[in-house]
Amino acid sequence: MSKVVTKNSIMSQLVALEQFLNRLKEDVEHAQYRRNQLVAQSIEDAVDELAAGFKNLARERLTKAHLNIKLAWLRANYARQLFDSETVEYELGEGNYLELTEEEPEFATAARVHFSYLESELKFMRSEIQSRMGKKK
Amino acid sequence: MDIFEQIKSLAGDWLKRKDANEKLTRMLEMIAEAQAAVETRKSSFVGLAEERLRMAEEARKRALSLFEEDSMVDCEKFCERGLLHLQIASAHMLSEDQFKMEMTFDEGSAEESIERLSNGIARLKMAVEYSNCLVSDSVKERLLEVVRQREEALSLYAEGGDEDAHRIAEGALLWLHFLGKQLELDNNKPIIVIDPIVKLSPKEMSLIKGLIESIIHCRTVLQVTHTRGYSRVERYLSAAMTNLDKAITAYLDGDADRVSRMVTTGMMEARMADEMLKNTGPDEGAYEVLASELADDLTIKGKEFFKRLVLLSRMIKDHFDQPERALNKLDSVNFNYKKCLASMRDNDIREAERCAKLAHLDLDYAKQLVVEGVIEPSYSDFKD
Repeated sequence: MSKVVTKNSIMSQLVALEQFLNRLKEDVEHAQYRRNQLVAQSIEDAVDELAAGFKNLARERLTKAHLNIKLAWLRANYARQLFDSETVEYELGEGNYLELTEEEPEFATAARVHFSYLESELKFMRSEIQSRMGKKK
Repeated sequence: MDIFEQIKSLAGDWLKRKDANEKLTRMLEMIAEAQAAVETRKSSFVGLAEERLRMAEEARKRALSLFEEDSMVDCEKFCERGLLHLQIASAHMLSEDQFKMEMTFDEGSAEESIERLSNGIARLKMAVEYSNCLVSDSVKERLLEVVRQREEALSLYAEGGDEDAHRIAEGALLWLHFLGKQLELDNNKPIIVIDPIVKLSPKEMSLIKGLIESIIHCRTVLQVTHTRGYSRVERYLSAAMTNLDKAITAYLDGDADRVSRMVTTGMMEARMADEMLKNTGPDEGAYEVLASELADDLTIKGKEFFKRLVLLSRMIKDHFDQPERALNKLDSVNFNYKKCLASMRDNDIREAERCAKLAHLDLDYAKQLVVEGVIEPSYSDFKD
């Protein structure tokens, strides 16, 4: 069942969401390794939605304000989850991010990633062979 | 009493009980007091509170100019806006930890399905980043379409088109479910389970999910057994995929009859593929790797290596000027790597090392051409 929406309940959600977005923006800013277009766009849209929510709340249009808050949450939470998954990729040291926007990575970047993978596999294979040769001797 | 507590405790009709002059004076005092208090406090949310106080001050100034113009109704509005900024600033300053932001949506609502879709996309991305699995062009293309559909569902929901938003989000969830399965199949390992987010309550969705299961089942069998009927089976599966696409489109259009027809047709195609798979045995001759060795470590490693090599070759063919020299070198990498794996299996370590070194040299040569832009590359002096 839906809860009754009041001015106070919307204001509490707005405050919480503003803090949630603020933390996310700080985290994104500190992550110098990567700028993800979808994350940046989702944050921007969430901020706009929050501003619209504030205006509607000030005019006591509670239903509209509540809709703005819900949209802002859907966008902000999406951005947070996408950002977190990129952090995992960064921490694993692979740097091979899955892009969720139309923009394809530059050919040179993508080719470099594939070459790097193949090269590391060959190096690993050669060291494996070397160690087997050592055992044989 | 603390200024922020004071602001917080103001009743909703507090402003309405004051005349314009009083309102403006009191607001000026509260903003000044709050600004002074913010400067002396330690809080993670000082920045947010300061921003709200700045906006409160702007609203107060605007209200003042409206007061001068004798526009009392508008003056009132800006006073209320200023007060709301003040209340939000106070709420930030009074919260010790970050407020827990959690929103729960009614089950079956448009916003709930959009949230499930958003979470599904994010989970799939997380799984891909974590497992570092390969994402084929077709999976990527479909995933981008799912991301676009999420955006469309959000826009419709914002405009009040809840029913359409809900339908599009659920359709996109079906595709996401399919993509999760396809990713596992392409990578030969469990990667992500997106299964539970597809709700089976509407009959049409259940039908579509059945078709997805059948297609994935055939593809799994096909991948494991590598039968002789490969291209014919693929043809049937491709037709089944086309019908799946049409069925999901019909679902998004709300055309239940068409969903049923498309699923029935798709199921027939999938069944044909399944029958062909049952009637044809494994074709060892078509692959260098023997069936008995399919599961060994070298084969798994080899598969991953060759997939990357194929992806890289395609990219070079499509995007690199005069790709022939680089492609020849990559062919040579392919040849020598296969020989290396075969020698490892035969326990011929010296030959394996020789082939691995040749593959490494050719790969480095191709890399110099493609990545470093060297016109006349040279063979590196790798240590034995």
